[in-house]
Amino acid sequence: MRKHRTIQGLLPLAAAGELSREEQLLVEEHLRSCPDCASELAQLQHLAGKLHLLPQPGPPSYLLERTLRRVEQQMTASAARRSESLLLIMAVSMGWLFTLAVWALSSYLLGGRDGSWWLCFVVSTVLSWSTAGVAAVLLSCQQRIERRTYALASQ
Amino acid sequence: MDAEIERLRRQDFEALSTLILRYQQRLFLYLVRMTQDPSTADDLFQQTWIRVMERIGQYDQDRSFDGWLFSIAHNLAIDYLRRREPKSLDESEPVEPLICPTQNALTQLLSLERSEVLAVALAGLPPLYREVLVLRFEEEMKLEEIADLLGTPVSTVKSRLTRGLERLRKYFEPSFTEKIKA
Repeated sequence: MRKHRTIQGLLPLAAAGELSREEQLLVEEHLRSCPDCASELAQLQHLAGKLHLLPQPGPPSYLLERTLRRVEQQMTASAARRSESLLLIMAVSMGWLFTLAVWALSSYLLGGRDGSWWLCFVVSTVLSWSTAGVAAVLLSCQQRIERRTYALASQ
Repeated sequence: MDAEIERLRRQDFEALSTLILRYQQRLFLYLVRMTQDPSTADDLFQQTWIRVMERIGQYDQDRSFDGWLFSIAHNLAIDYLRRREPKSLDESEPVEPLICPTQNALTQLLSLERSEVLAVALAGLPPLYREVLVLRFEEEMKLEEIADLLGTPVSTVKSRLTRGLERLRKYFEPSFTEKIKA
C-alpha cells in the first residue's frame, strides 16, 4: 500500500517524462500489477499531450511599436533624471563653495573691526540658501508638470 | 545572440526591435497565461522590455538570455498577481470537477477533447502551478531551466508540476470515468 502511494506520487512526473531511470523502472514494474495506476498514468499522459496543443492567443499587432515607444520614453526620462541629479549635485557644491568664500571674505573684511561679522555671514548664508531652496522646489514642480504633460501627449 | 546583447548594451533600438520580434509570441503567451488578461499581459510585456534595457548592464552572458528575460517577466507577473490577489499564489479554491447533470458521456468526452476546456481548467489553477505547466509543456523548458528562471529548487518545481497535473486530472476525472464506461 505504501509503495502504491509512492508510485502514485510519481505518476505526474512520469507523464511529464521527468523521472530518473531508477524511478522509471520502479513505476513500470508497479504498473504491470496495478491497473488503477496504469489508468491514472494514461489520463495524465493524455492531459500532458493536450497541454502542448492549447490555443495560443497571439500578441496584438501594435505591440512591437508601442513597446519600442514606451522603452524610448522611459530611457529619455531616466536620462533626464540622471542629468537633473548631476545638476543638483553641482549646484549644492557651488552653494557650499560660495558659503565658504563668503565666510572667509566677511571674516577678512569685518572680523578685525567688530565682533558682529559672523552675523553678516549667518544672514547672507540663510538668505542665499533659502532663495536657492525655493528656486529648487519651483523648478522641480515645473519639471514634474512638463513630464506629466509629455506623458499624456504621447499616450 | 551575443552581438545583439552587445548592441543592446549600447542602447541600440534596432537590436531591441529584433529581440522583441523574436520573443514576442512566447513572452506574450506566458504573460497571458499568468495574468489571464491580454491587456495586463500587454502592459507587463512592455514593462519587461523597459526593465531589460535598464538592467542589460547587469546581464551575465553565461546565463541563457531566455531564462533571464522570462525571470524578469515572472517577477513582474508575480508582483502584479500579489497586488491583485494578496492570498497565497500556490493555493486557491479547489477546481470543481467537470461535471454537469445534463451532460452525457459523449458530451463530456468531447469537451475534454476540446482544448478550450483545458485552457479554462488551466486558468483555474493557482498561478504558481499554472506557470510551471506552461513553462514545461508550452515552452518545453527543462525542469532545471524552470528552477533557474523561478529562483527555486528543482524539487519545488517538481512538486508544483505534480500538483498542477494532478489537479487537472481531478478536474477531468468524470470525463475519464465516462470514457471508460462508454
